[in-house]
Amino acid sequence: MNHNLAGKVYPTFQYEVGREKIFEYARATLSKNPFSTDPEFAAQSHYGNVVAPPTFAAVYCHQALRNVFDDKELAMKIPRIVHGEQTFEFGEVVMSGDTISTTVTITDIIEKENRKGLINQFLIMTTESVNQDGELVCKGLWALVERGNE
Amino acid sequence: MSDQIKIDKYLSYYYAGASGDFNLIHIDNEFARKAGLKGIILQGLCTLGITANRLIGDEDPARLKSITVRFAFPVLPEDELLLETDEKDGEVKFTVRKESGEEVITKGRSVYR
Repeated sequence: MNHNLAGKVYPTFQYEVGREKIFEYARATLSKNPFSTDPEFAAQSHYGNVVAPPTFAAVYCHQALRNVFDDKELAMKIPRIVHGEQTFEFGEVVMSGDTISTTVTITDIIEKENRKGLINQFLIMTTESVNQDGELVCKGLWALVERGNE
Repeated sequence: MSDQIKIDKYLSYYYAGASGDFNLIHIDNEFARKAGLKGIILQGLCTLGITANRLIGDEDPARLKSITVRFAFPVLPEDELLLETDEKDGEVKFTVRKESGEEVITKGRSVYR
């Protein structure tokens, strides 16, 4: 990876949250939470609407992160990438009909030698996502690892 | 407290569709092996999503203030996982391990409002 790209900020990406996408995500992450899976319960709740599971952040951020994965200048070796660490801090809940704007920054790119003596590279990114009212919904700290070749 | 999680054989495909993460190491065994893995692995964020959903249960999703994890070992199709939690003062420390013993999520920590 091109270490000179530490500090790069990518263009903000807008994601419109659809109700069926929330249901699809909830099913794929085995949620039984009624706020995210039961439209009648959600409609009668104080939200009056279907609420995304908090980690739905992975969905609206993924679309924003594609800009990083596709960045020829960064030259990631995608098949050698695995996810190392993840932190999400949540603000306002995300609901069906929201528009979420996410900005990705490459915070750092670090090399570390692993126990087998291979050089792994760590791509550290932060995401900041706000809703249509400018309220923070999620801050993400992402550590992806490009595994070194034997 | 501990809670069992069974990973369906095709979950990585469902999660790829739901999340947009179609990295071939999650859906193509041959490709995954060429990349130095034993076979396809589940998306780490899928394991995180399942874990977060278990921690929230039926409660208002707004209660979850933050969650942090380290992905220590790949989760494979048909793995059986155990989520082990230790709750103290509005904070839960957790680990996810395979029934065979390997820890797949370590340094798990979630905070509530």
